[in-house]
Amino acid sequence: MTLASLLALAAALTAAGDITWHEHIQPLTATHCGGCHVDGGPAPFPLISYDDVARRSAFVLALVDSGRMPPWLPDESGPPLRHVNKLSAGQVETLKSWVSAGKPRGPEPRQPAPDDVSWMKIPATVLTMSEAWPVPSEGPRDMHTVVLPVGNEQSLFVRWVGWVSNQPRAVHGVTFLADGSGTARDFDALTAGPGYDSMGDVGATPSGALGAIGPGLPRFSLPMGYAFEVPPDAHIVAEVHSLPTGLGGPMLGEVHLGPSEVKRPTLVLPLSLLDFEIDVPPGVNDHVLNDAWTLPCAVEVIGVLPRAGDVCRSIELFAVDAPTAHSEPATARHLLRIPAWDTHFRRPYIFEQPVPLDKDTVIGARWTLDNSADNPANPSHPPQRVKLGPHATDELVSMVLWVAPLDPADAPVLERFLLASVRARFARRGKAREALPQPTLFQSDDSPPTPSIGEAHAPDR
Amino acid sequence: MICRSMFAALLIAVATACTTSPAAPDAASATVRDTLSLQGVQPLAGQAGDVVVVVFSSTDCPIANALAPELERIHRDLEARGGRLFLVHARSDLDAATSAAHATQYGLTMPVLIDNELTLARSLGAVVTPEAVVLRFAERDLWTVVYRGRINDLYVALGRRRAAATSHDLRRAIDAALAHRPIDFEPVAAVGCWIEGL
Repeated sequence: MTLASLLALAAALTAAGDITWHEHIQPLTATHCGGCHVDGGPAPFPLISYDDVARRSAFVLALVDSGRMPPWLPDESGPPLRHVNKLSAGQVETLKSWVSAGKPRGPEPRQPAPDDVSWMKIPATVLTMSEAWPVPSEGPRDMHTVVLPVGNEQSLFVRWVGWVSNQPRAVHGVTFLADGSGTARDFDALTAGPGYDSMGDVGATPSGALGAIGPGLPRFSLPMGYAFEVPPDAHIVAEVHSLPTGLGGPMLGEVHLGPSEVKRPTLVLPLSLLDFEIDVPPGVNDHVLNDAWTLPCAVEVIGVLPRAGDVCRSIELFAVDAPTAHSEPATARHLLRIPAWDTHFRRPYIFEQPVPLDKDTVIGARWTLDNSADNPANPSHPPQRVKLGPHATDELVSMVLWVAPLDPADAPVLERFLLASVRARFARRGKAREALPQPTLFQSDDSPPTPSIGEAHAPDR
Repeated sequence: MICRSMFAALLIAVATACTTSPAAPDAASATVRDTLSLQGVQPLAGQAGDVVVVVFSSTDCPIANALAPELERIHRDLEARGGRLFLVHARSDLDAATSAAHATQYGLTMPVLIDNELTLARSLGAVVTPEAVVLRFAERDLWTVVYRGRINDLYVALGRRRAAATSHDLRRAIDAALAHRPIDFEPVAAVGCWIEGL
């Protein structure tokens, strides 16, 4: 053994020996685990204290090493994202070394790091349910929509949204919408008890237009300077997905609306991508659904909420740049790609920096469905024909993009476009493909050049 | 509720995965604590003809908790057919008060035991919660492991949950044990939270 290798070995041993709870592991678990694994949080057990982590270290290490935890579905095809939960290979090694070394505590820091509670300093508007609805103790995922009056005389500008409930571990995800039309309130009044057992979309506005929460993201926050507008006399419509925990019981919730810190924020609007034409025979493992629009003006994409059921295997969001006189054949680039979709970990993704897209850029989504017996998440065994629907054995794919016009003067154009695009999608529901409204991404005439993503081919539908 | 007859199995063998095999020698004498009485209990003290199901669990394992209502139903069904089911929390740091409160919260009426020393978990080869072991009292005071594996297929993998279970493995294994025949299916390893400290 050479002197150099001896020195390297000594350095490695010293490094491993130096890994301690207080200096290395606590900051890591606080950042990547503690947001959800906390008393009263959505995850099953706390991973806050030394004892919490040390006594489960074998299980924690196995989950982390397999990539199962912390939950993070996107690959790195798209622009960087915020709140990336995934641990780096180096962080996993740090955890392994700590466990191998006997989980040393190490010296306590002189001063504990303060919790980041800066967002709590600005008081939120809290809307509280006065009556509970029952959630089951067993069975498939449950969906219930509740409608809460804001009582605001003027528009509110909201940068963050949260949900607090008496059964945090049962709540799987919540999508929000601000309804100024009274439609949701009237619909709620038709049924007894709080809310209703159907989706939280209102007219052409998709649920999620006001943000969403999910595993790994207990609070939804737009970047500083951006906000949603909650119109006067609005109702917040919250579509709550719960996962039976074995307990069940009455569910109560609160919606927290965090105000914008700036007086004139850039307003964020929802762009929906969806495909209603779902009919997947049993055994088919590569059924493609897609949707696309040509942007009417330059926008920034703030983030995206992908949605799909258990039959879905992968999800992609991509952009095809507008053709120019001298441009090369256009290629599609991924904005987000989830190679192994998992409904359990459905959550929004916010780009590290808003992604600018030029006017006439085509933005498209693709969902690949696997209705074979080889799909371990397939809810039906043996596989059954899968059609559009809200139930666990149905399929429903959509994507809500949060966008803002780059030029504020384009806001009316964008708003009209977003409304028309959703109406067009609803109108085409159930019709033959030949009747599809334009534009679509893969049309045969005056279309942008066929996009290619790596070796993938243009969706065939 | 808890039979305390002392028929200790003393056959030297190791409980293998799940086909019919003798229980490990120390299983029958393994003592765990009853949540309510706080007394030591030997779930595998029994007599000829007994069918005993031991389900290893943990109060804060979400998979074990999600299956709690089904385990309660299986317990009641088994009791009506003359068998016994024990829920055994395999955790070194669990106290009886927490276990009793959990049983009340989830409406569990089967005997709930605490295996602080992991003696029973080790002797029956359990590694995760919830994991079921079905035993039948064989001839000459010996316990036979009829089945060890998952309760059902509600969870395909960690975090991968079906809308509803489609394969009720524990119920099938109980049917086999009560009928004095081996199971007629390939056992599948349980999916759940690791038992720490084994």
